Amino acid sequence: MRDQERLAALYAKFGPVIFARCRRLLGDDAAAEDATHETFLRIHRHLESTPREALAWIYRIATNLCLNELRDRKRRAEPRDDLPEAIGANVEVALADRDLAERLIRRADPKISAVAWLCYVDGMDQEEVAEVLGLSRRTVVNHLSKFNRNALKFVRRVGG
Amino acid sequence: MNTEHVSSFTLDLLHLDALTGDERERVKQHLAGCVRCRLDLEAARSGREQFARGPLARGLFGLAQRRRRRRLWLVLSPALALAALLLILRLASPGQPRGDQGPPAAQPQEVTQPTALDSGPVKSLPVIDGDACSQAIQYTGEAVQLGIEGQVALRIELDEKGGLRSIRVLEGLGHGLDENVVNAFKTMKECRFTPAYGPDGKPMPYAFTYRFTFELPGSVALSAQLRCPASVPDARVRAIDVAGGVDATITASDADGVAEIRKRSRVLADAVGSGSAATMDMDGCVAYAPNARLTLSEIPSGVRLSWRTEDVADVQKLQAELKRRMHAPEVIPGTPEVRGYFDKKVIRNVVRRHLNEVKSCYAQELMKKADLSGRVMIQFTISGTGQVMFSVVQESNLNNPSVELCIAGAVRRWEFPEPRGGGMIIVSYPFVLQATGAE
Repeated sequence: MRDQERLAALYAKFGPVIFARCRRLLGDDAAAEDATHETFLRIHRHLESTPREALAWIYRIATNLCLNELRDRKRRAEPRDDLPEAIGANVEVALADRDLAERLIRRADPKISAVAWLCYVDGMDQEEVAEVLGLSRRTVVNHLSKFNRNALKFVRRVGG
Repeated sequence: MNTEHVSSFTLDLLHLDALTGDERERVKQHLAGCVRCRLDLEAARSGREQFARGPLARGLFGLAQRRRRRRLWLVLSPALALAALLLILRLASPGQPRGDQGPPAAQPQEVTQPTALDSGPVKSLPVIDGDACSQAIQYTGEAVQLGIEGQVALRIELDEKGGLRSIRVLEGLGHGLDENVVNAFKTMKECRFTPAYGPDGKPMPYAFTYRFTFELPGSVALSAQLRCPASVPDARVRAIDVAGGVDATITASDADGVAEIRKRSRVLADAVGSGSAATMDMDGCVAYAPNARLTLSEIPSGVRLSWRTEDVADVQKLQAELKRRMHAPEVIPGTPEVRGYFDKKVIRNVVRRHLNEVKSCYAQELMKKADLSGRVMIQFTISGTGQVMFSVVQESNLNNPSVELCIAGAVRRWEFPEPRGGGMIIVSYPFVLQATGAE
């Protein structure tokens, strides 16, 4: 019973945060509910650490889960045909357009896409991303540059 | 932290009160000056609020029950949809042909049964006699005059006997309609629900969201037929009190406009028939006097509509109605400016569908101040799910905060289709408010 209460308290505290996170990623209430459920069950043990650590877990698990879900979705909204023309050499500037970033991220390799999402869509810096995903800063930098190269290639192919 | 913006991670930390004092200060300072980050903050907040409205909010019990309930919902939803459809058809079918229809009765129509499976698995949902209940709920005069239509969303909690434990208006229509619905559910025996039955076959307490639809019969069909000010932009409507009734002329300056007015007037005259109630429609609203006769004649630059009745009360009513109608609120939506990937046409369609709400905001103040007119520009943000997250008055020369805030508040409740590819859309939408007949 004590266990139950403890769990309920954690749920009351973090449930809305997880849900808001999933909803932001998936853009769909029903799917976000499922992902919230899944996320909470997977990480409830970790939620008792400090709020900052707990939130990092939420971001790690929920982000991966939701990006997988997005990749699996066959009927996800297609990118509109009008990608910005001339993206230029500077991907970072182009990715400040978060709409474009989201669309590119959906195509990326799973490991890389989580990094790219946290960085470009959520606006985290590399240290925060490393903290959340449990990666080294070096790996984050590598993933990002790989993503940038691929994004550039993709945009040139489609837009060019 | 990102040098330019606050990350969503940091915003969540702020919400969890897990930032150090310094960090918090810095974030708050940045938020004060950065619209984009405030939008992010608002999006996160609305996401958390949505959690509270959804099925997850019932806590761990909800979690445990969730999978099962979903399956039940899948089974039930087609049945509910069918039931709703049948109900709509039933309500729609007794409608007489327009030709001999009497005055539009200000009768609300009710088209929903409880549809939100909110309190766990059930064997059967609460049921209400929709016909009887909608008979019991009345329109208010004010709402009829303003042509208010739409849904009142209620949160209802029943006890295990089907008795009303609590009732709360989630979304209202105002003008006394919300109170009428709530009172009917509280007091009228016609508006009693049967209890919900649990999986074990025993009655159980139940909470759900219920939508009650107010519709002015006939108004939709008729309003489409004679909207002179809207369909013929330079049409003039003039009305004169005469002994025993009212004469109105509708004129236009060019041949096309005149032809359009004549065509629409004939459709109207055919629709209401002569000898039955006189119905006029000048700006999407319907006015009627039960015993007046309508005759239609063509004049050089348009038409004359004449209503005659022997009933003195009717004459007065018609004349008063006409005077009021001459100052009917008119709202002309302008051309939106859109930032983000979103078709302007889609936005315009949604705005047009809700234009009556804007009109009603304007109408309320127009009654107090007859020469009120101006242009109000509303800026709103459509989230990735199609909901409006933000809606503010961007600029206005109306000098009337209550109209401006009322419009911004109405826009906040609108729902748009999901933007393709997600992302946020920022729209600036101008509305021109003026009174018909004002020159």
